[in-house]
Amino acid sequence: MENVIFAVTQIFDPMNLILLVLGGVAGIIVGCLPGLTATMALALLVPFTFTMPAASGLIMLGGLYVGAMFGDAIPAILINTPGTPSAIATTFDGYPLAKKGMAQQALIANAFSSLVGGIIGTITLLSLSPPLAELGLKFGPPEYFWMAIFGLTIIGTIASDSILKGLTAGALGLLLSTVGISPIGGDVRFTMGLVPLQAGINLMAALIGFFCIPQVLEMIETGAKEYQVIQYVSQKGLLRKTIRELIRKPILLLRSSLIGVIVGIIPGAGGNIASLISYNEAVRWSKNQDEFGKGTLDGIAATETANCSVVQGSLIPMLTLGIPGSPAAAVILGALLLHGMQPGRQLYTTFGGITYTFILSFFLAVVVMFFFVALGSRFFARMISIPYQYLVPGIVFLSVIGSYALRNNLLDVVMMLIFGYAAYILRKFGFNSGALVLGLIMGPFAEQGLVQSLLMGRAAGSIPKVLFGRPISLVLIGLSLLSIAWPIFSAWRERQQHRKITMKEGEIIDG
Amino acid sequence: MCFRRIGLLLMAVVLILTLLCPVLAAEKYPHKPITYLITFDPGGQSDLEARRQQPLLEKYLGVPIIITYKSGGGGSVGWSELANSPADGYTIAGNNIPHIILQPIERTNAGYQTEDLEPIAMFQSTPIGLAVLKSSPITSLDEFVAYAKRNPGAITIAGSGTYSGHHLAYLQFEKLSGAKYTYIPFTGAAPQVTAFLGGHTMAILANSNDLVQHQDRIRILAFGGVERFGALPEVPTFRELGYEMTATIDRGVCAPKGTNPERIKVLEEAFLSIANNLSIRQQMLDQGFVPVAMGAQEFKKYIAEKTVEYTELLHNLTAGN
Amino acid sequence: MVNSDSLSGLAILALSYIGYYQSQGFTYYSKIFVSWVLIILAVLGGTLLIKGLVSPKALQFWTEGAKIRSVVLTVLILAGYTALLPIIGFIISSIAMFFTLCLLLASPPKRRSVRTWVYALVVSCTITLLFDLVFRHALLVPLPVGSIFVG
Repeated sequence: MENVIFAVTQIFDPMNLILLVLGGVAGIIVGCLPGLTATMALALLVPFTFTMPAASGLIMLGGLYVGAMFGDAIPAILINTPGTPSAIATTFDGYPLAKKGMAQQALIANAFSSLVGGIIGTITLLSLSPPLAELGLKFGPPEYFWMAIFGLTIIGTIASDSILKGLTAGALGLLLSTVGISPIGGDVRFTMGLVPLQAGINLMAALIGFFCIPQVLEMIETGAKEYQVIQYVSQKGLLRKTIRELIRKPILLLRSSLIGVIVGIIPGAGGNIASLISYNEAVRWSKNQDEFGKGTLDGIAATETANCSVVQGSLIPMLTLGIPGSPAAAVILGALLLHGMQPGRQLYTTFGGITYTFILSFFLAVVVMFFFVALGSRFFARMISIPYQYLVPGIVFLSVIGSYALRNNLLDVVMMLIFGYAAYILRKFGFNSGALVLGLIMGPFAEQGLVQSLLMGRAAGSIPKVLFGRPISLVLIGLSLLSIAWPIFSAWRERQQHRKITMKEGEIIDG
Repeated sequence: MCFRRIGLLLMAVVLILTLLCPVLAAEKYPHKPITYLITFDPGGQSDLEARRQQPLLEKYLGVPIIITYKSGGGGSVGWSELANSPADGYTIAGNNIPHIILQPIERTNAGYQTEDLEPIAMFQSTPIGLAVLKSSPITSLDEFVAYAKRNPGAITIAGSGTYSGHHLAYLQFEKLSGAKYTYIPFTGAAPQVTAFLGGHTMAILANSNDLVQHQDRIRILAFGGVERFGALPEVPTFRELGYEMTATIDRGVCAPKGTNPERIKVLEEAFLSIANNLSIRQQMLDQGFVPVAMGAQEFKKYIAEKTVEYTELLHNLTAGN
Repeated sequence: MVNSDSLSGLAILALSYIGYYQSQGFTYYSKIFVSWVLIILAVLGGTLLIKGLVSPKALQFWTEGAKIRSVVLTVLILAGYTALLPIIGFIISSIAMFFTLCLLLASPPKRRSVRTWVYALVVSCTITLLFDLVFRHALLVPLPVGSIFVG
């Protein structure tokens, strides 16, 4: 307990505060630029933390991680391009909101939701770490497989206009995810002799390609006049209004935060999956399902809450067991080890002061970030008003640098461009980029989960028992079935309603 | 007349200076930043080692050391990149045994050959250990083998990678013990440890540092390596128990083939001084590694020996199947 | 009239066949997942094809009033930019790309004015150099220098 009190005094130490803000602002910038990911930025920052006391270094790293989760929604909202993979789902409602001229509301919603997510996440981290970490361990290969399947059912929500094409796009994504060295078997697959492809298709390059380039080409296609319609208009009291609207949905916020935390504790699953699942659930439980995808603040609330609480969620298994819940958490783990601290019980006892300072600093970090992004929303939203002829090349420029900066590899830029052109054409044919990206993300989980489960089943003498007989798997299977059945059910229900209305109208006309 | 002589003198001076320049420049290696390429993801073991070495390297060599990442293919993307980098001594990479030996053998196009990577020094060895959970009924390696003989293929062993160090250790053990098990590959140390700790596999073949970290929960049956593992001396080696295998994963640094030997010498001295640094050695021991200080020539010989051993092993195993 | 669903269905079927062909050499475990995905792709592609034949929908590739020329030019400019990056280096290619796109997107009357040209040039150079500074020196990401400059 004394550790906690000690920690409270530490987080307000001026040095730590400065580092927190620096890390956070750097995080926002990194999150804002597609192509720069939180993981990369953290890796760059770790050496700077050597000369600092452990707590200060960790606070800065934590601040960066949080900042990135706030910042990645900015390009998602303004130019329909996720700043990091965790913001993919934010584009679904974020960009439509911007097109409606509500970019600033979207940004404020982003800030507030991330704040709530961060706070709930930190509370969980503080209080429920040990049991949650054990829960995370219970996820084995079969569970990862079913989680991937559950993730894929989200296609039903994002490609609601043509599920057939959505599924096809998803399957294409799955196929693309197999490019590279197979995780089991070691074969080199589909690399066409290009060595860098042995690493597989770089997710960030694919993201930039699938979202940015078609966006740019579409903007050019429709021309400047169409685009000038949504200009920034300054409004007063937006902050208060937006927040008030969001507070009226506590269940949405709470559920999304919890989804984020749970996905965070699953080793390997990070913000991208959390925000997608949270979005799916938000749609499912909402009373106005049609609004999703057309620009509703609920969409932003769902995704951004989850992607921020993932930060703390991924730290739960990392601090208690030394198993990172996400790639970014792995880098922070590295920093911990370099400072001579080993994850486990001793983190909370011998190094308790440092650990609790680190954990409590998240409360401060999310509040500070909230103010930056919410108050800065006016400034960010104004960016849409940059003259069309400079904005478009600017986005192109960012895409190219972003995809190059990933691995200092020109091949990534080429791939980004190829994906971009392909996505543009695919969109014309009615295929959804989001579904494709979903397949690309879930593919590795699905494949590894499947094949590893098959091996386990063979060893145990019964494959069905392994794949279908475990409690958590059954829950996930149930969720998947529900996820598939729901859109079909609600479409059927809508048609019933529609029939009733037209029948009534028929009566009125006749009668 | 006077002018011409002065002119000639001047030309001679310039000529001499130009000839001297390369010599002078050569004396000053290194004079610009050196890129230290990590062929795995940030936060991983190779990254941590490099970060441990970075401040000391910068002090010793007097130039910034820039750590960059090029992960993928189990390291092959990074190593093929290194093989194609200019051999001027300003680009080096961490290398891992047996990875750099196995990959060019197994893949038709790994992007590099083992000989393309010129060894500089080896600084770490990680014995591979076989472990079960404390809650498991198996308490010794003999019981392990006996159980497998009664239930062929029933024991699931988690490992990292296919045809990697872990997989080879598994294949060697399978052959030497005469029993059948099931190897379940994962994509890295974290996933394999997670699956094992969660009880999804019955056993694990893992690096010593991961086993040390979780030693409260597990029972280690045996370790690879020639001698007993220092941090856990109660655990026997495979060799002691009658299995002729020395499974380890070793880490070092390398440069592109054809790098000037003098420059390699400078780098070798830098890395060896760090490898012999007491504080660094202690850190490694605390985390469950075996610090090593092997110079370039010795390292080269070691790689050659291991290459022979592994080539033979792979041939025997595939022939046996 | 190009039947959009049939065309895409056909393309998907073709892709799954190519994938099948390429995967022939895989070992057992590497093939499992790939085979399943290819089967699913083929089924979906076939369904699309049939749907296209049963209820044909014309492909509306270009939206109303689309600036086709601008799009095609942009596609070419981007491809050229990527191709030139390793040859003449980041700074020059970026300035060229930015400048060209600025002019392309400016409305035709403005395009002739000197002011537009000057603004475009200034913005291109500033942004390029700014990012070069940030990436190359602050973030230590080496941007392509261009093979004609390196020995």
